[in-house]
Parts: sequence; structure tokens; C-alpha cells
Amino acid sequence: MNTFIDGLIADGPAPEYRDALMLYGQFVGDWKTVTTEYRDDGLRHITHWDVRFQWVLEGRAVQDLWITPPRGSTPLAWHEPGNRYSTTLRIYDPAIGAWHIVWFNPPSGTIVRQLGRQIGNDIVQNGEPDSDGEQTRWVYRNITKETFTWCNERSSDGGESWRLVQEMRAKRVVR
Amino acid sequence: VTRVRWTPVALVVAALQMVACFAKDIEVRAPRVDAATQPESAVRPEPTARMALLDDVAQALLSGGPDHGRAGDLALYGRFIGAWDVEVTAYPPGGAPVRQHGEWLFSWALEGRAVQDVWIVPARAHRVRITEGPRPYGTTLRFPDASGQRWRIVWINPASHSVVTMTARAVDGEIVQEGIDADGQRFRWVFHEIEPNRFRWRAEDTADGVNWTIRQEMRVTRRTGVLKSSEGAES
Repeated sequence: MNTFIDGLIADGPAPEYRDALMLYGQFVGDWKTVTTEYRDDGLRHITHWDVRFQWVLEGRAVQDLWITPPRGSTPLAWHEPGNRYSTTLRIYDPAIGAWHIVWFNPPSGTIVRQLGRQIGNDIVQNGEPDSDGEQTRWVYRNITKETFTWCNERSSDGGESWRLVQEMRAKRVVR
Repeated sequence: VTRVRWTPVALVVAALQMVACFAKDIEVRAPRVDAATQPESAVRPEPTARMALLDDVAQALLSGGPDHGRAGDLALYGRFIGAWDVEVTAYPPGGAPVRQHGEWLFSWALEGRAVQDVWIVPARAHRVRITEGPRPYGTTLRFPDASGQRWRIVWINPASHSVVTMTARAVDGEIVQEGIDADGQRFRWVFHEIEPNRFRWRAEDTADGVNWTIRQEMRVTRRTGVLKSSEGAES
């Protein structure tokens, strides 16, 4: 096996926080999504994503890949609009009972930091408000073993109301 | 939070699983725990499915080289791709220096537009017997910004639940990664005396922006020779 992968990837959750780690550990595996972006001009933009989750770092973290468009034989240029070849690192922090989330997308030069928590049957990831006071949250809903819905939502009123800007419907890829 | 109950059977199975894990042979695994004795969420896929899964993630994450269009910018960290042995010395305030051996593994990632590394101290070969003290096992992900002059860097260490954000640039043949810690203190991690098969590294912080105090140093040496697929592991 590749030396780096051998050091990075883990076989399962670390025993000491096994149950807590399963919040994101439940997604380990491969997924395909159909994603709808609700644009300000009222148009809907549909994209397809290739999503993969894996245990890493002694099973104390989860790393996942979010890729669109799914890669074929044609390479995309670095700054191609809409190009996402991104990864998320997630670590559970028992001191706050929440997850530190960092999403990296080199093609757009973006790094997003959030805190993720289970709320009811959902997983809600909140970020800091931007300079205009606009807040963004990413929410996992309707989670089953084989499906989930991921929503990118924004609020301009301090979290009183949220509008949907992007929705992914994910299905597990069975091999 | 429900706890795993350590019945004698569960302990034996856990020990077998550890052995299987250390053997680094994913296909030879200990027998699975009866699903009835575990929470449903902890049941794992079959070994063959896991192997395929691992290949999928590795294949999508890793890249054989840098993005062609930006190979020049990417070389700043690209030169570290490979496996390194690390001698770490920490200088705790008011205490004696602490020395440890570790390993540092670098790879191209995300279509060659990023460099990801894993930093493990103590090294996996010693980790089983060294169970006291800090045991960092973390990863850094980094990529150059649009200008190519600066890199955006995040170090993540689940063992201490820490996330550290930095910006890096080349300065006179060195690489300087700068950031501000949770207490508002400025710090920098510096790669220096960089040669093809060795480099040094130091972590420093400052309260006044003038005087820097060294907190940690590393001497880093590239692993050489014919390596087995499981080098660095206990097998």
C-alpha cells in the first residue's frame, strides 16, 4: 500500500469515543449526489457529485472528498467555474461535544471552518458570520444507511430564518 | 453515550483486531464481532468491501504529481513528497527538553493542487509501547493561493482536538508558516536548512513581535533504500 495512505487511513473508529465518532463515521463509504443550486435569478442549476468518506488518523477523524463534475478522462483547468475537487477533515472534540470541520477546495482557493453537532436527527454545521453578517450552515437531513440530504442554507437575520441555496440528494454506491 | 461493555469475549476480539490491524494486511482480519454484541452503528462492512472502499478514497485523494500548470508554485512543498524520519525536541516552559522519534509522510493530493502530510509522534513502530505523554497523530493540508506567492495551511491533530490555521511563504530559502494562536499569541513554524534528503524545522512564538522563543525543533531525514509496502509499521 502507498506509504502515505498507510499512515493516513484507519480501519474504524477509535474505541474511546466510538459512539460519538459514528456521527460522521456512519457515512464512511462512497456516495453519488444529484445537487440543485437555487440561484438568485430564480434559475436552478443541477450538478452531479462524487462523494467519498473514510476513517483517518487512528480512527479519531473522518476525511471525505467532494468532487464535481465527477472526473472522467478530460482534466479540468484549476480555476474552471464550478470546479470542486475538495476535501473535508472532521475531528470530534469531547470537551465541547462537537466536531471541528474544515473544508478545503483548492480550485476556488476556499477554506471553510465550521462546528458540527447532532441536533435531533440532523447534523448541523455552523460557521462564523461573514463581514456582512450573513451566516451559512450546512445541514445533513433525512439520514438513512443508504441516503441523506445535504442542505446549504443562509441567514441574513442572525439565524431567525434560513433560505436554501443548495441541496444535495445523496445515495450510497453499493459495490 | 452508551459505553462498549468489555466482556472477556469482547476483549479477546479487540486484541485480535489489534493484531490484525498491526499486521497491516487488510484482507486477513480477525473474525467479526457478533453484531448482536455491538451497537448497530459499529457494524463494519465485509473485508472485501472495505478494501474496495479504501482503494476508492486513496485513488481519488492521491495524485502522482503536481498540477502541470502550477508545478512551479507547488514545488515549495512538493519537494517534501515522500517518507521522512523525525527527531523531535520539545522545550516545555520551565522543564527539561523532551525528545521523541516520529515519522512524517507527504503526498500530492486533490489532483496535484494540494500537499497533504501525516505527522506521527511517536512513530508507529514505537507507538505500541510508548503510551504516556503527548501522542500527536495529525495531518496538514496546504495549497497555494491564486498568486502562488502564499500558501494556505491547516494543521489538524485529533489527539489534542486542535485545528491550527497558518499562511506560508518562502523567505530566503526557508519556508515560514505564520499564525496566531487561541490566546492571540503570534507563532511561526519554519522549515530551514532544506536539502534534498534532510531539513530542519522549528516552532517559535513571540509576545512582543521582536523576541522569539523556540518551543519545538525537528531534524528530519528522508527515508531511503528499498521500502516494503508496510515500512514504518510494526510488521
